[in-house]
Amino acid sequence: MFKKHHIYSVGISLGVALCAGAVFAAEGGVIRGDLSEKVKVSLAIAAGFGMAIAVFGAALGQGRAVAAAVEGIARNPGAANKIQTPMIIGLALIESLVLFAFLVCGIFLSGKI
Amino acid sequence: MHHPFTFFERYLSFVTHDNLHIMSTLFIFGLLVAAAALIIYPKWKKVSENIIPEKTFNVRTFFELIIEMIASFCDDVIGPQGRLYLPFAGTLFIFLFCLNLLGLIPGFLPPTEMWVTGTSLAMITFIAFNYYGFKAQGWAYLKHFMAPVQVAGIKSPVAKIFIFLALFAFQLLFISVELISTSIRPVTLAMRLTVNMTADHLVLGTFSTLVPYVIPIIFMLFGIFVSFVQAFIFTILTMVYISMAVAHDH
Repeated sequence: MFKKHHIYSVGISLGVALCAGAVFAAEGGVIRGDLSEKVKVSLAIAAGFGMAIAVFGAALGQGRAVAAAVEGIARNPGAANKIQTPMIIGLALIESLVLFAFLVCGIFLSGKI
Repeated sequence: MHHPFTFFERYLSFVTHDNLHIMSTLFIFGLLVAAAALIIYPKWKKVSENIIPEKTFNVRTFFELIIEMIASFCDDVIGPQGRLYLPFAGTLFIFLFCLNLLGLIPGFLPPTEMWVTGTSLAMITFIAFNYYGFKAQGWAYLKHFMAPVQVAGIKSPVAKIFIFLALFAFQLLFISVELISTSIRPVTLAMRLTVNMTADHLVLGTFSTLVPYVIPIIFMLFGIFVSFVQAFIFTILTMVYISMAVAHDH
């Protein structure tokens, strides 16, 4: 029926996956005082501009990636599947850099406003 | 982000906001194991009778399509040894896709929206590709982190000392850069998954609040697309890391 290594692998994966909860559950309550108005205004402007610049750079990069991929497909339509997969991977990697910026601007900075 | 509206929190009293992600993950895990045990395993026992694909499109052919797609990616990315890692990559993809899709059903939150699930899956991937690297290559796996430098034919001992010191400094630099870039892989994997799911959920929520009637269909489709792409990217990157760890240089 189920071999030993099936049970071991399922058990270990589940164990590792559930252990991470213990690490994050121990966050204490951080008492944050209110920031002054000037700091809040600067934070708001910085968050907005940071996100816009990140999205601008990513749009340029992704446009170039898609343009190169589509030109490659136009030259060689039989290789469409082999070109499409690295294109999707490249787009996701560029997008993850935008997500770094979103994390900082949209969640960390906007959380303090 | 306090959402008291999930069905699990409302009707089951042991599910609180803190362990919602664990309960949702276990729910999907239980569903998949039940599907495997009840539907797939009885047909799996008699392989010789079931090698011919079925005529109609049912659950079995659907999963065969998915596994065929992942197997072809395994062969492309990892090479001839790719099928060894198919169980791990396939499980990761199906599990992650189901976890992501749970968020699109109204009344459920995707467990991958919370940092804990993303970090756990990324840690599993990190342990997995290091383990496969050691298993495939033994201690020679650690040579991946050292610079491939060779020196030959130096005669004078003074020059030997200088070159040895310079190479040692260079190796230190190279090893630190490689270790940092390898250690940041699970961080980026987890962050990409979690923030994508959070942002997608936010977008869906915002547009559903603005135009409650027909337009959310488009965003539901977008949500399915994002769920699929994030699961796919996680799996492909896992395969790429495994292929880089297992690659033989000869």
